[in-house]
Amino acid sequence: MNLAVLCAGLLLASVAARPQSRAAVRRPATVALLLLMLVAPLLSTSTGILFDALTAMCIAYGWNVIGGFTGYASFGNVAYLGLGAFVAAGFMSRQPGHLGLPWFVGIPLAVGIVSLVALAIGLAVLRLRGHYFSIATLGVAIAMPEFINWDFAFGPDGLIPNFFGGGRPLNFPLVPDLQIPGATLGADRYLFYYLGLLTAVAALATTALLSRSKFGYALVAIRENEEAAEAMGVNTTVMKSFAYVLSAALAALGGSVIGFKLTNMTTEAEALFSTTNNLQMIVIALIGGTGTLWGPWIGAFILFAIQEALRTLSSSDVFLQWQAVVFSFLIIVVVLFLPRGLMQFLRGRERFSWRVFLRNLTANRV
Amino acid sequence: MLGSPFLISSQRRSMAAVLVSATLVSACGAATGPASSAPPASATQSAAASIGFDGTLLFGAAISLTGSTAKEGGLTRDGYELWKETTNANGGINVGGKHYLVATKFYDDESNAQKSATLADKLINEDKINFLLGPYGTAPTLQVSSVAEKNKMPMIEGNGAAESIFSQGYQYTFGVLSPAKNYMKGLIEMAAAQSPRATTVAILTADDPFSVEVADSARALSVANGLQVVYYAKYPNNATELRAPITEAKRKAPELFLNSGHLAESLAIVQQAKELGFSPTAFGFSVGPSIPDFQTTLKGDANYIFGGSQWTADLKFAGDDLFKTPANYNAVYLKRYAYEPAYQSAQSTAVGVAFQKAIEKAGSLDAKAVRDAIAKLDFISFYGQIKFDERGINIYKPMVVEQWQNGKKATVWPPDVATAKPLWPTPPWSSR
Amino acid sequence: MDLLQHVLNGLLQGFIFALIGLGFSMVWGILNIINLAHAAFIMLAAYLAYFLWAGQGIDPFVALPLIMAILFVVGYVIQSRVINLVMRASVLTTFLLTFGMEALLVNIALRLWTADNRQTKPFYANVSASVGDLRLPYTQLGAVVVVITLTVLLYLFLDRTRTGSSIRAVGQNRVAATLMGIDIARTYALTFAISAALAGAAGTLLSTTSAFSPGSFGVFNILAFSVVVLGGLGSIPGALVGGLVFGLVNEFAGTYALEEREVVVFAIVVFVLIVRPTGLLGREGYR
Repeated sequence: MNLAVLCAGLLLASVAARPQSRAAVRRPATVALLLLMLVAPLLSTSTGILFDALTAMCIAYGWNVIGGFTGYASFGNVAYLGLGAFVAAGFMSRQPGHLGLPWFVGIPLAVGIVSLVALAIGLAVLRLRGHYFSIATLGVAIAMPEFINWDFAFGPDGLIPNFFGGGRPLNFPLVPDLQIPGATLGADRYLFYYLGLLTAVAALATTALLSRSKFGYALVAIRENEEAAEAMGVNTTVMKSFAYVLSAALAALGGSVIGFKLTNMTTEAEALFSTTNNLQMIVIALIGGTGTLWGPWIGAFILFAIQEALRTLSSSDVFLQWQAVVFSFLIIVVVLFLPRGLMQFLRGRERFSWRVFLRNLTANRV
Repeated sequence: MLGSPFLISSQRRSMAAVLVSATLVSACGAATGPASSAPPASATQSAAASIGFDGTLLFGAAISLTGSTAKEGGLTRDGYELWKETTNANGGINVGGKHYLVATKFYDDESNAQKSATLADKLINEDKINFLLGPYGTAPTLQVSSVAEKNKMPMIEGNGAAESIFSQGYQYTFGVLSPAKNYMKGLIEMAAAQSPRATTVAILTADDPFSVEVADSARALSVANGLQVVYYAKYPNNATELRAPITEAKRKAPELFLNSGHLAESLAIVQQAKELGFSPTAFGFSVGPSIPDFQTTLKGDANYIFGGSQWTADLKFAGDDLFKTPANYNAVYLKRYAYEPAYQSAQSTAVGVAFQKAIEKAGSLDAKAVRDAIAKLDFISFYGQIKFDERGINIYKPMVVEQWQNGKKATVWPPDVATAKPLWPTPPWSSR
Repeated sequence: MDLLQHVLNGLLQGFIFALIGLGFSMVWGILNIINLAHAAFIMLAAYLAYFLWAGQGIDPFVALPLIMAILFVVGYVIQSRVINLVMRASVLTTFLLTFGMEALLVNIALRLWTADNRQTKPFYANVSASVGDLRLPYTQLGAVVVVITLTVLLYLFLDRTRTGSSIRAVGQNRVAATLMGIDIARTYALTFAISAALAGAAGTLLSTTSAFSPGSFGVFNILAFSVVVLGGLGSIPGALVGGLVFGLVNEFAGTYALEEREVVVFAIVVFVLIVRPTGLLGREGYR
C-alpha cells in the first residue's frame, strides 16, 4: 500500500511540477497530492517508509538550497541533521538534568540553535570554492560527532554538563499512543507521520518562496557566475551565508523529527551521522533535479519507491546483501545518464526516450 | 484531470503502467505474508516438517550482516539459526499442547543503529513477527528497545550489554548477557590475585557508550582492588591508528593494560604494541580474544592475551535445555558450522532458549503473558543462569576470563571454573 | 627523548600518507578531479597483496611492481571509458561519480571477500629495529624506501621525459596543450593510471602494517585531501612534505587530544586552507 501511495504521489507531483502546464491543472494536482499525503495513514498500517521519505525529502530540500540553487555542493549537511537531533533531544529529554520541553518548543529551538552554529561554520567554509568547499564540509560532517562527544564542553564536568548525555545515551521521551473514543491512534503511524509530512511541506513551501524571490535569483546568479553577480551588486557573502544557514536549518528540522521518532541518541558513525544519510540527500536532489522546486520531492519518492519495491519483491538473504551494490551502481548510472534529474523530462520539451540518456552521457566528454 | 494534453500519451501510458504494477506488487506483498529467510534447501525441509506442526512462530531480528560489526553479526545469526534448527528437530515450541515450528526472518541493518530501528519497525508492523530477537551491539539494541517498547513486543537480546539500555524503565526488553560493568571485573580481580600482583593499570577505550561504560567501571574496580590508574584515554570510535596512545601508555609503564573496544582495535593494538615494544605484564581486552579471528589473524602473538568473556566452552553448567552443557553446545555448533562458537554465538542461542522456556511456561502467545513469563524466568542453561533483575538485565550470570595459551583458549578465572592457571606474567615481545 | 618515539611514529606513517597524497594530488592537479575512488584503489591493492601472499606465498614488497601494474591498467580503463565522459561537467558530477565508484567497489569487495580482517604477515611483520629505547618497525622502514624511490622516479618521469612533460603541459594549460598536438583524452587516462598505480603501492604497503577489511579505507580520502592541502597542490615535494607534516600532526593530536583527534586535525587543515590556500609548497602546473 505504501508503494501505491508513493507512486500516486509521484504522479501527482510530476503533474504539479511541469512549468508549461496551466495553473488550473497544476494547482489541483498539488492539492490532490496534499490530500493524498494527509489520508495516507488511513490507507496503510505502517507508515514508516513514508515517514522516511518525507523527512529525507525535507533534508534534501535543504541541500538543494546550497547545492542546487547556489551551486556550492556541501557534503557535510549530515552534521546539521545529527546536531539538530541531539540539540532537540537535549531540550526535550525527560532524563534528570534536562528540561523536558514539548516538541513544538524543542524542535524549533533546535533548528534555531543549529542555524547559529551553521552561521559560525559557514563564515569559515564559505570562503572556499569548488572542491575545497566540498571537502571542507565533508570534514565538518566527520568532526561533528566528535564535537558532540567532547568532554570539555559536554562531559559530566563540562561547560554545559551532560547536555548530550555526557557519554551515556540521551533519549527523547517515548510518545504514547493517542486514545480517542473508538480507536487507538498509534504514535508511530500517525503523530510521527504527520510531523514528517509537516517538515516536508515546510521545506517545499520555503523553496517555493525562495525560488520566486530576489534571494532565490541572487543564489542562481552566484551559481552561474559569482564574480559577475558580485559586480552586479549582489552581496554574495550575505547571500551564500543565508543559503548555507537555511540548508542547515532544514537539515536540522528533518533530523530532529527523525531523532524524535528514533528515541535514542548515539553518536556512532553508523547512526544519524552515517555516510548513507549524507549521500542520500544529494542523490535525492540529483535524481529529481537540483535547483528545482519539485526535484527533491520527486527524487525522494522515486528512491523510496524503488527501495520498497525491491524489498517487497524479494526478501531473500542474498538479494538483500546485494542491495548496497545496487544502490552504489544506481548513483553512478544517475550521474552519467541523468545528471539533470527527472525534471529534465518534466520541464523541457524532451520526450522520454533512450536517446536522451545517450546524449546526457556524452554531453560533457573530454 | 488526466484528460488534458499536458502529458504526452507515451508518458501517460508508462506512468499508468508503473502505478498499476506498483499497486499490484504492494498488494501481493501484503497478501502473501512474510517469507521465511531459510535458504531453498531447508525450505523444503521445513515445509515437510511443518506437516507435523500446529503452526509457525515467527521470530525476527535486524542484525549487522554487513558493515563494521559484520563478523559479530554473523556469529549472532549463526547462534539464532542453530537454536531454531535444534528446536524444530525436537518438536518445536510447545504451547499448551500445540507444537509450533520456529521460523526466523532477518534483515541486515548494516551495523547502522538507525536502520536497526526502521527494520525492527518493519518486522513488527509489516512482517507481523510474533517475537523480536535482539540485534548485535549496544547502539542498535538501544534503538530497537524503543521500538519494542512502543509496540509492546517482547524482545530478548544477547548482544547489548550497556546498562543504559536497561535504565530507561522499559518493560519489554530483556538481556540474557551480563552487564557491561562485569566485563573487566574478573580481569582486574585476577590481576590483583597473581604474584607478583599488578599495581598499576592503563585503560584505553573506544568512545562509544558501551565501551565507555566498561572502561569507567574498570577504573572504579581498579581502585577498589588496589591498582593505580596511570593512564586513561578515549579514542575516536573505530580508530585503528593507535600508536600515539600506546606510546604514551608505554611511557607510564603500567603492569596491566586494558582495552575496551571492538575486534578491529584489539588486533591493531596487539600489533602496534609489539612494534613499539610495549610489554606490560598482561594485556586484557573486553572484545576480541574470544573471537576465533583474533588468533587466526595474530597467530603466535595472540598468546598470553586475556579477554573478558561472557561464556566459554570449558564452563560446567548442567543446563535445563536442549544443549545441556557448554561442551555439548560447542560440539553441536562446530559440527553445524565448521568453526567453534564465540560467546556471541552462545548468547544468541541462549536468547532463543529463554524465549522457548518463557513461551512454554506462559502457555500462550499473548505478548503480555509471554513478557511476564520472561520476567519470572530463573533456570540454568548451557549458557549459565538465566534470570533477569527488575530492569531486565541478567545480573546473575558471572563473567569469566579467557587466555590464549599455545594457540588455544583456556578459561583461567574464577578459579572454581578455571581449566588452566593464568600464564603470568606475559613475557616481553623481544623474548618471544 | 620520550617525544622522539612520537616523532618517529609520525614521520614513518607520514611517508605512506605522502604516497597516498601523491597520487591524489596528481589527479587533482592535472585533471581537476577529486578522486574519491582513490581509497577504493588502495583497498583493491591491499586485497591483491593479501591474496598473492596468502595464496602464492609472494612477499608483498616483491609483488609491489605487479600490483602497481594491475592498478595502472584498471585506472587507465576507468578514466578512458568512464570518467572521460564527464570531464567537462560540474564539480558535483565528478565528485559523485567517483564517490559512486568507491561505494560500488567497496560493496562488491564486501560481498566477495566479507568483512573478515586480513593482513599480509611476512616474517618481518610487526618486528621492529631497536635503537636504544626507540622502535622502528621493519615494514614501515621498507615503506619509507619504497615511497622515496617512487617519488624520485615520478619526479624524473614528469621532468625529464616527453610524456611526463606533456602531462605537465596539460595541467598548466589545457587549450595550449591541445594546440601543441597533445592528445588530452589519452593524457588524462595516463595520469589517472599513474595515480592508481601509486595508490596500488600504498595499498600494498598498508596491507603489511595493519589488519584491514573493505571498510577500513574510507578515511584515506580525507587524509589524502589533507596531505595535499598542507603540502600544496601541484608539487611533488609538496606531497612529501604534506604527508610528513600530516603524520606528525596526527601523531601529536593523538597524544595530547586523543578523544578529539579528528576534530583537531581537521581544524588545522581548514586553518591552513583558509590562511595559506596554496599550502606550504604549492604552485600551478605541477612539478
